[in-house]
Amino acid sequence: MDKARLTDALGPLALIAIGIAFAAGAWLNLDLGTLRRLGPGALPLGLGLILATLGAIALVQGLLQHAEQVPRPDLHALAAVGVAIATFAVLTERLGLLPAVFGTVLAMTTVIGDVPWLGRLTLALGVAISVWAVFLLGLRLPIRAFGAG
Amino acid sequence: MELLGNLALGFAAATTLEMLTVCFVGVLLGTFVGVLPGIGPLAAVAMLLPVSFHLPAEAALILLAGVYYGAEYGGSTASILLNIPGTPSASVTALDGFPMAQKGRAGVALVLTAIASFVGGIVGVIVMALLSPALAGFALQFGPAEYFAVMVLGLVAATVVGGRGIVRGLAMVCLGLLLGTIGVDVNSGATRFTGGIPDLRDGIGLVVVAMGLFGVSEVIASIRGNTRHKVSQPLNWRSLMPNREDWMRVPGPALRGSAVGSFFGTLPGAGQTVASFVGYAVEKRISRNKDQFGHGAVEGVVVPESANNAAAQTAFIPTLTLGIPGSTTMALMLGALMIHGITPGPRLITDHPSLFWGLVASFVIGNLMLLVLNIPLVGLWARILRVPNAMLYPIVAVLICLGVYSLRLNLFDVWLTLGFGLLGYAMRLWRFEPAPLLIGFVLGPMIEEYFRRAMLLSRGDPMVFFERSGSATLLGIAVALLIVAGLQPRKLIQRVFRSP
Repeated sequence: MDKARLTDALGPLALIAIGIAFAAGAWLNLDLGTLRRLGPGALPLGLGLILATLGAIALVQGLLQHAEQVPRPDLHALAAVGVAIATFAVLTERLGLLPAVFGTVLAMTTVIGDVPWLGRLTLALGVAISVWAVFLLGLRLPIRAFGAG
Repeated sequence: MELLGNLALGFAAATTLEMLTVCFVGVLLGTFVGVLPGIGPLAAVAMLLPVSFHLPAEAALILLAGVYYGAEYGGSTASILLNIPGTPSASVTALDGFPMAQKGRAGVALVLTAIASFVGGIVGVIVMALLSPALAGFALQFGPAEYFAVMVLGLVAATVVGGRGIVRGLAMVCLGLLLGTIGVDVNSGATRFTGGIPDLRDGIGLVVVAMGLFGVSEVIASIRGNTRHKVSQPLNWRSLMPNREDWMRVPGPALRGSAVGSFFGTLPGAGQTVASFVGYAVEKRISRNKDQFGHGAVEGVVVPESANNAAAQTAFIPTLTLGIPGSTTMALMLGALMIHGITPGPRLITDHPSLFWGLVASFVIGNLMLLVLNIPLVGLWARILRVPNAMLYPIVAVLICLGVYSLRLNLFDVWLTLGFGLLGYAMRLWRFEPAPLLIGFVLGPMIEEYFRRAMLLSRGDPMVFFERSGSATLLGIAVALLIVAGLQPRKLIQRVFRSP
């Protein structure tokens, strides 16, 4: 089995795993009830099994048909967006909303080429000020601008 | 005339200063995101969901709907000027719109699309006002079994939207339904699949799923696209005015496009893109100017734009009368309604007349606003295309984070959004459509409720779904739809479309 086919099979395999996980969780931890009075576990069990079955069919379909190349992920973009959102979550808690917004914008600009550092800092500052004006002053969201909570 | 009374009620509700402002903001933002090829109406509606929670239900719906159909107006701008569709349904407009622009008639094309969009929108609203009460009245006879069947039909329709094959679509629906079960089960009080995390007890928020799957993954996927678009043509008033011959070629195609669009809009799963394609194909077959199609025919921009705007309006019919969202954006509208404590379904029109008729009236007002916004401001919208991604995407990222966080002031939701963003990106790579997942997620709790209730009423006999004529018919349609989808309608449409 070549590498492209193997990578392509990972998607359906993940579906099978998720389906089995939900079905097993429902079977082990939740009350299935009776046909007349279905319990909280009945639907997840059924749906989990259906999902696993559909995953299996998709797997077989993928193996029988010509393999479609899974495109290479844009790791740089992935990392930048991941770091940007993580920055927002971490900094809002530790330093307040505006530093978090500043950090998020800065993290996002690292993936977009040919912008000088001064431009990036200006953009980050501008967005932070706009967020303060619109969301904190204007809409009065009860979020601290600076400081840990 | 009951209809006139209802419309009077609607206009009274929609013409307060607050509603007019909300409508204006909605259509303005909609045009803006429609013009920008980077963000679609879906991401925009998702980003506005948190804002809409702070508004009354009527205003929330008017705002979100305004963004949605406003984007259909704006979507054609990038199609015509750059040959890059701003929204998927505007891709048909590019077929003749871009050649028109190359011939120096971009202004004419933009003005004609605005007018065609207006005609389509108004026809769609009329169809909606006439058809919805009748359909809702019919659906009032539904019991739990029929509701379950209607939702199954909606979910099946959602898998057809994706166009990646039924198996993959249905798998995404199941995944969405399963994600919807996370949290406390309202019937038994049992906690399901939270892994002991208290933040998950109330379930995963719709905004979190929508922002992650559509907002974050979209940003990851397109952040490195073209950083700057060049629009070379100067647009001035003189270059905008269509000539006499152009005007003669508008009314027929606009009305035919509106008719096709109104029909396809009501079908869950068909949507605006199919409407524009079919409208274009039909017009190409019957037009006297066949040979001009694809080389800048006026009809070629008028028909798809009137069709997709008509479809954008009539898509509200199944959403508001039956509670079946025909598209992902409609699923978000349903979510917004439910968050405001309004159950979508056939009772909506009678229980909340000012909401429904106010929305209908706001469509008329919104379409008028769009006409006024679009024609004189064509040059401005064209200039927006020059906003570089370097500015746009960081702002979008901040708005996503802020939108999610502001809902419950809970940073766990921000992390979860990132998780769904990564999931959405992985789904893109492995060719799984996020739309059916979201629709499954929205309908999940309702479908489970009706299923359990139907089983209780039938004393545990699953045959109830096939014995009652209503639910049997609806399930039959769902099966038929699956079979038709198995025959790959997209290929069929493309074949019709390519033939001379």
